Amino acid sequence: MSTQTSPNGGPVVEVRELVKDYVTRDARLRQHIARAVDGVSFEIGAGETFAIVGESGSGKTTVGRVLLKLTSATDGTVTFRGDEILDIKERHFRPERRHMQMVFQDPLAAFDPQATIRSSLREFTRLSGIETRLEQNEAIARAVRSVGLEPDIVDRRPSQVSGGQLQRLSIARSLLPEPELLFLDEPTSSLDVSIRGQIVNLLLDLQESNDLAYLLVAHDLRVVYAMAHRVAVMYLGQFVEVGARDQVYANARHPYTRGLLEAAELDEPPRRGDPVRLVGEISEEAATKPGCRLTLRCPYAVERCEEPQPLRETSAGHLVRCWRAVEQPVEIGLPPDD
Amino acid sequence: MSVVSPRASGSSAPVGRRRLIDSARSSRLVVAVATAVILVVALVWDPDWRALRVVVSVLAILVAPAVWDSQRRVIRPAVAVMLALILMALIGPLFTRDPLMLSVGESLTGPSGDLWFGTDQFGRDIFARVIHGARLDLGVGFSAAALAVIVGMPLGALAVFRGGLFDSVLLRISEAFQSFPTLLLALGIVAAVGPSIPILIFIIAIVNVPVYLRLTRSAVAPIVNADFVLAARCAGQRELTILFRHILPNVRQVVLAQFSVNVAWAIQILAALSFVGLGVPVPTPEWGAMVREGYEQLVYGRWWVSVFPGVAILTTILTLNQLSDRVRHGT
Amino acid sequence: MSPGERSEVPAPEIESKAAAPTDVPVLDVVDLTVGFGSSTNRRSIPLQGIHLQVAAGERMALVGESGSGKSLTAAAVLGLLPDGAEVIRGSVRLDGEELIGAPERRLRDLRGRRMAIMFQNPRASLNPVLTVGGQIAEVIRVHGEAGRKESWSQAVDLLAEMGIPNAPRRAKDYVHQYSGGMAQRAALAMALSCRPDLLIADEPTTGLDATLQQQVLELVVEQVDSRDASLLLITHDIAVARSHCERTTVMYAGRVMESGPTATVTADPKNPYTSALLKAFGTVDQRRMYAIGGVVPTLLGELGECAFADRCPLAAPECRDGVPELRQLDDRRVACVKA
Repeated sequence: MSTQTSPNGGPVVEVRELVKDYVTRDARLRQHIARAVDGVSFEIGAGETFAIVGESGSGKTTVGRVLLKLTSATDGTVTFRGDEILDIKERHFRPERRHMQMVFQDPLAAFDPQATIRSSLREFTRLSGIETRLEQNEAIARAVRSVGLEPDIVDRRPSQVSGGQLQRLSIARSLLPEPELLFLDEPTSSLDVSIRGQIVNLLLDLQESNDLAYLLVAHDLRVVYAMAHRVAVMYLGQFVEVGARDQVYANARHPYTRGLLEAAELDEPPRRGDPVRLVGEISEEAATKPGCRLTLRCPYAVERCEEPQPLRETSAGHLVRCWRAVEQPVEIGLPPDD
Repeated sequence: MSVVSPRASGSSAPVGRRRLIDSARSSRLVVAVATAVILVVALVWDPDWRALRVVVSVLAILVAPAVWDSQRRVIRPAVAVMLALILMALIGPLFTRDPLMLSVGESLTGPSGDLWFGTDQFGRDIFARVIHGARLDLGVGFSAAALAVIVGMPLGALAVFRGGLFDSVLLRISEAFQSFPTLLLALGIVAAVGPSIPILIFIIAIVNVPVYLRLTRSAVAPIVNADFVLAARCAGQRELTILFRHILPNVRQVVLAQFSVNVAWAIQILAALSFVGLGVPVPTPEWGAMVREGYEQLVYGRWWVSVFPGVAILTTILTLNQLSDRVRHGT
Repeated sequence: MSPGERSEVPAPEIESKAAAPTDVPVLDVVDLTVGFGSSTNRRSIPLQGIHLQVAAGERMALVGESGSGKSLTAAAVLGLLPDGAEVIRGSVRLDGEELIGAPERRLRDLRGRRMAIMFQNPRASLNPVLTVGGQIAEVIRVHGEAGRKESWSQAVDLLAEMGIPNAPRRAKDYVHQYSGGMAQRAALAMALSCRPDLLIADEPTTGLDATLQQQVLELVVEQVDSRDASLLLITHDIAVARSHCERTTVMYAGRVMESGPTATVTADPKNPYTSALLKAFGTVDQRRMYAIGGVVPTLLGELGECAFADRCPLAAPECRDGVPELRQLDDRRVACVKA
């Protein structure tokens, strides 16, 4: 699937070679640099969902936070509707925040426990320039109805509302300033199984009616399958596979993607190629390697994997960071064609 | 058997009631801060304590409902005693003799039906002096602690927020302050500038600021990166707005618990300063000073001169500590 | 209230022997009902008549969402109910021995020797200031006859068996030096160190990533099987139950909805809640997910109707007539009037 475009032509947001280092000091004041995001590029069009999947520690949430300027970037560019935003000072950027909002993993943590839900929502109405209390309340009531709840629920405190309802309210809150881009940070993983579907379907409906661009970060591959148009698989700061949803799900090329899909035990879609079992677990020490970072866990690792691995295109729009998947597909249990 | 239906989402009555309580709670906080400010001003500008009397009355009325624990249907003893002490300071002096009047009775007579707590070496009514002393000790204690909170709490939160050099410098300064024994520090300053009530309040507050700074700093640190703070940034809130609207209200409980302990400390410091003669100028009735005056009389068996003000200090401090425990455990 | 005492509500008649391969199940829970508050001021009844049998060598999954009572059931079995909770009626038998009302001393002994628990957070069961090997060796020493040296080498062997590489060295480490997956392996070693008959694993992989979840669950199954122990696996993920347990019990709102062999329960669910859960874990090729309307009930009282009736697609007037009985239906039990 090709990238959809926003009314003014280009994508809503464009990320190029994004790098984020976390610098810590140990007891002897020596600097340790952990590269959480290592040269990530993608773009999202209006009405499109771009999903990043991967295990915890892969750096996927950091990408979203840098994108929303909630944390600084080390290098790279983020272009929002044609304007570079990483260099804008926070003071000048504050009014622009209305265009990009976030939905948090744990709705209970995302609301101030001391404040009523109404007052938490009210803060977001100011971003879109609604000043009078009456108009603010009207906007809040509209937003709350749009997520399928009765407006009087906002006079409660966050702890008096169920998790699913609170996540709906969190979505309503993020939509109040009428953003063009929503960063969905694991929007369903703190919710009960029977509630997840409600929230996913709500997000899908809202995307359709508001032509929203979604950056979805999740590890639940079922949710990603239902929501995403394009999927990036991230491992230790790098994208290892990027493609349209069906390219990634039905025709995964990278051993890491194949291992994730295998572990998720999805009923659908049927997968091509041999199942892959990953051993061991994610370890930050591998993040400093010049070559493939999965070698210790990958059943197909050979010597050449220690050389730097670029993202290579295997078919239109389908990128893989694994030389064997491109040059020796049959040897690693893949059908020869993509 | 009271049983709640699983469709609990519909019940609105308890929610409404809780809102009322919550708004009462936050308005109480506003009044408490305002009271503290007025207290300081009153103590500096109003020697007749008129403003103080009004403020303390308002405060007492606001706190009064807290005496009754409606959930467990018992009286909260600490709150009741504290209220009694405040009322004593507030209106008690209207019903006593002049605490400064000499030779009310013979000098150094024991407790009797007429002079309940007896008289001191100048023949002054000790009962009247203890009651009047409550006003001074509680007044100085509360205002000093309030001043320390008002300065220390935002500084502590800002230290976390700004981090880096600002944080380090603040921490070093507060460490420097705390490395001195509090009393010695206060003694030094009083000896340098001379005792007067506003100066005493100021000094006691200064030595307590680092306590609040560090306390707030450690309470704020875990929530400064909480999701709801991030959400407030997404809403385009300014740093200071986030600090005062979202962060400080969430550490209120911890700081409030420290507050009543701190009032007790302040009273202790004041009493100690008075005891060594660097506190309130004579002949103002102050508990610590009274204990010191009666100290020499103890060996002659005239216990009443220092025991009654001593009991007053003890009761106040114990009550305040008890209150602090209550706040900390949220009962 | 004493364990034997039954209230006026008769327990549904169930042959506890129904599908057990041996005579006495390792774990036999009958009509377990737990409430919060006192009998005069009952605040909630989070467990309402739980029936659960785990046969020797069997792997049973206890599936449910938050508030379903699955973890509380485990706590009641272990005699570790939280403050304020009490058993109103029912019985819990371990190898035929009644645990409800048993003295704390006896329970403590059984908890170490005959049943063991593994928590969601492995760091909850390992002491952070003792070495991993040291505390496992201590358990072996307390419960067995092994001496200091021998218990240490047994602990190291056990860690190696759990797939911890370089076990002799890693045994000297502290739990915070272990990664999430390794810590869960160590917790499993700890739980198995006294050779329990029953291992209760309470969401052992919920915090872990899918690839690790698979590794740890397979290890748990392998180790439990090789020791002929029984497993009670508590999970919210019916897909986990499907791939790792022979039998499954589905709970909702403090009740058992359906219980039976995993294969039949997941292939042909008789309770609409079970089918809803299965659909929620399924994937469909459209931009939509299966959703169950309504909210998950919290704070449960004694209802006079099916707890799922409000959200059930098949709800009918008769669902409101009373609590559906847990009925035997071929090789399983179902609590649904429509089944």
